[in-house]
Amino acid sequence: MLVSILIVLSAMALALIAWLYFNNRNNALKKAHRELVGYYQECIVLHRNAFAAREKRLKRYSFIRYNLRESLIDQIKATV
Amino acid sequence: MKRQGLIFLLAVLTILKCCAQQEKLDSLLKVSKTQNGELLVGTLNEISWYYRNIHLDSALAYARTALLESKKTDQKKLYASAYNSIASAYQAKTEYDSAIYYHSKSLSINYLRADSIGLADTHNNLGIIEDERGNFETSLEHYFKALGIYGNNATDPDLIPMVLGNIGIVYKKQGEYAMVLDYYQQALELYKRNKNAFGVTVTTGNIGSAMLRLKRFEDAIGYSLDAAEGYKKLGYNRYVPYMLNNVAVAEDSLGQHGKAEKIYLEAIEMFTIDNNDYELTNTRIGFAKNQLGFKRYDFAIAQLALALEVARQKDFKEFEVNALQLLSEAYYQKGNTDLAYSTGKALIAKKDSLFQMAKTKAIFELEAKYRAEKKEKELSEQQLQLAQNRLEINKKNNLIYGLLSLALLLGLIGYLFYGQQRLKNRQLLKENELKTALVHIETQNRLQDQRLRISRDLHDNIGSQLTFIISSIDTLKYGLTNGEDKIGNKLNEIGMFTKTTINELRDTIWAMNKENITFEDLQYRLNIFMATVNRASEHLKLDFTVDSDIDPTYSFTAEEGVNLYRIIQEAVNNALKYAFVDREGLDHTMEVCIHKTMDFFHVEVTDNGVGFELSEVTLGNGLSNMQKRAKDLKSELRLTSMLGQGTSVVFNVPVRE
Repeated sequence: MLVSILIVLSAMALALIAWLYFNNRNNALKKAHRELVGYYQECIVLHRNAFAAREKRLKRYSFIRYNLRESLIDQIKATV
Repeated sequence: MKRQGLIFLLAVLTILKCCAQQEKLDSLLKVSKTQNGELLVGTLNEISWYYRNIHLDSALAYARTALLESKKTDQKKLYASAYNSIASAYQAKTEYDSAIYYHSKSLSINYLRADSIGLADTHNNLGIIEDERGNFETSLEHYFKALGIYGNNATDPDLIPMVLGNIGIVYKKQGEYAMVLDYYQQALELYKRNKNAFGVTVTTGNIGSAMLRLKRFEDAIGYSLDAAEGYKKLGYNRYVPYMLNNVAVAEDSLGQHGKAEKIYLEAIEMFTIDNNDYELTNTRIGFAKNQLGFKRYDFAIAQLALALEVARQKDFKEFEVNALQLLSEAYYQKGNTDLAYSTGKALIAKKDSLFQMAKTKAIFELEAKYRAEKKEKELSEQQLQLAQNRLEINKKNNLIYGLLSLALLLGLIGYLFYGQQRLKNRQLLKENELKTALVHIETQNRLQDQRLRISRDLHDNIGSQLTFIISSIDTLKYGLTNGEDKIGNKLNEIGMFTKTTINELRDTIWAMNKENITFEDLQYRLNIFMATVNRASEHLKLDFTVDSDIDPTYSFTAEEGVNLYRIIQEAVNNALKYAFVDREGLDHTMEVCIHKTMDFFHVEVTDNGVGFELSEVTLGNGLSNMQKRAKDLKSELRLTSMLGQGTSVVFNVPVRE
């Protein structure tokens, strides 16, 4: 009887240890994943912001440069 | 009258003692119903002890109940006490093997618990059993073990002399009276030191009996008288005539027949009052022998006749033989030879029958002993088998529990592992998605950066260089004199070519800088181009129409946008170069229109120029490029021209879903 109780208690103890171990690992995995996801998302946001800013400046730059160039060429022709 | 009164008193005392015992038993039985645990076990043991004098089966039953109750408490000392009770009950039933078995169990427990007194008590009990079985050597072993333990540990000082007395009894049965005397003397000393009056009296009486055997009659008389006195003081008068009998035998042996006679008579009277037929018969025979010494043959024969009658009635075979022997002798001494002879014959017959009976009894006893041993052996084997079966079952149960626990544990670990893997998979999936998105956006960024760099380089370096060339050409043109028209024209051509190159470069840069070109962007570029063309060609009227319901935010890829633009550009340039109007008063018109159906963007460039025969003309690089670009747009370019009818370039660009 005592041996049976000991066996059952030992099994329960081992089960608890296993659960705690896996729980710990899962929490560590989740934490690492959260950090990695956060990093990726931050990078994506940075890149997107850089892209959008570049696109915006590019449009403005293209517009200005193109129109300036156009008017400059005409002016040169006119003056000469 | 006096005798009757005494008999009545004795009967009343006996009944009172029995009543007192019964009262004690009843009170114990009553109390046991309200008790449990250690107290209940103690009470049940005591009840078993009392039933030993009344009903042996009940004694055994209560002892077994005590064992069951002790197992509920799980106290080993209670097991030992219960086993002792069971052993005592079996001993009282003369089932010595069972008694020894249970005493052994008690011994094991006491040994494990290091209960010295318990061990010594059990050894003492085992000594008594072995003594009764006739195993004197084993009996003595147990007694000496008990003595050794009591000597070191006993708190009750009377335990040692008790064991010494038991050792003395064993030696007495073996006829070793010198050893008997030695041990009895030691016991007497200790009882005197402990002031145990009862112990002193009993041991004194035993020494007196031993002295008698050793034929130390005077010492026997002294000790026996002391013992008789002791019993009187203690109130145990029924034991006084035993001592008187010993004194009478000793006196008779010393030739003091007169003294012996008086003491015999006193003893006979006391045994008669006591109704102790056994001792009375023995004493009468002794008295008869004494009377023969006085040659009072008739009185002796009368006593012997009385003794014989009682012996026959009560089946005291040994006394019957003794009485017959003495009777025969008495008749012989009296001179009555016939009666002496017949009595002698009866004696021989009785001796033979006694011997036969003794032999049969011994055989029956042996057989009973054998059967008892056999039964005990079977019982032990059955118990062993039961114990083995129980052990087997326990082992199997433990194995089952172990396997079940292992299976559950493995199942749990498997489930946890599966859960962890699923979590990892989900995380990996998400990370991969983000990684892909990051890679995509990084690539876009790098691409955009590259495009920007290239377009900047093109625009800043090459554009500025081309502009420098134009300026230089213009400057050169002003340096020419009037006669150098050819050079001037060439320079103009170079200037125009360079300007065209700059425009082309700008268009390329425009397309490169965009990943997607909206319809609005395209329309804007085309408007600029059309405006340039209109400014460059004074005689051409260029019309550019676009469906108003086309979604301006519709996106083409950069490649599509560029291809579309280049086809229209080339078509217009070709019209500018090769199409002219050969009729007076007719304006050279060109129309570029884009309109949208459900599935296509329909693009048409038409002019009202001279036209040409398709079959007679070899298509140049420009037209080939247009067809190639149309193919890239998943479209087919249709060039229609007839002489005098003008030219039309039509293609359909599929609308993306």
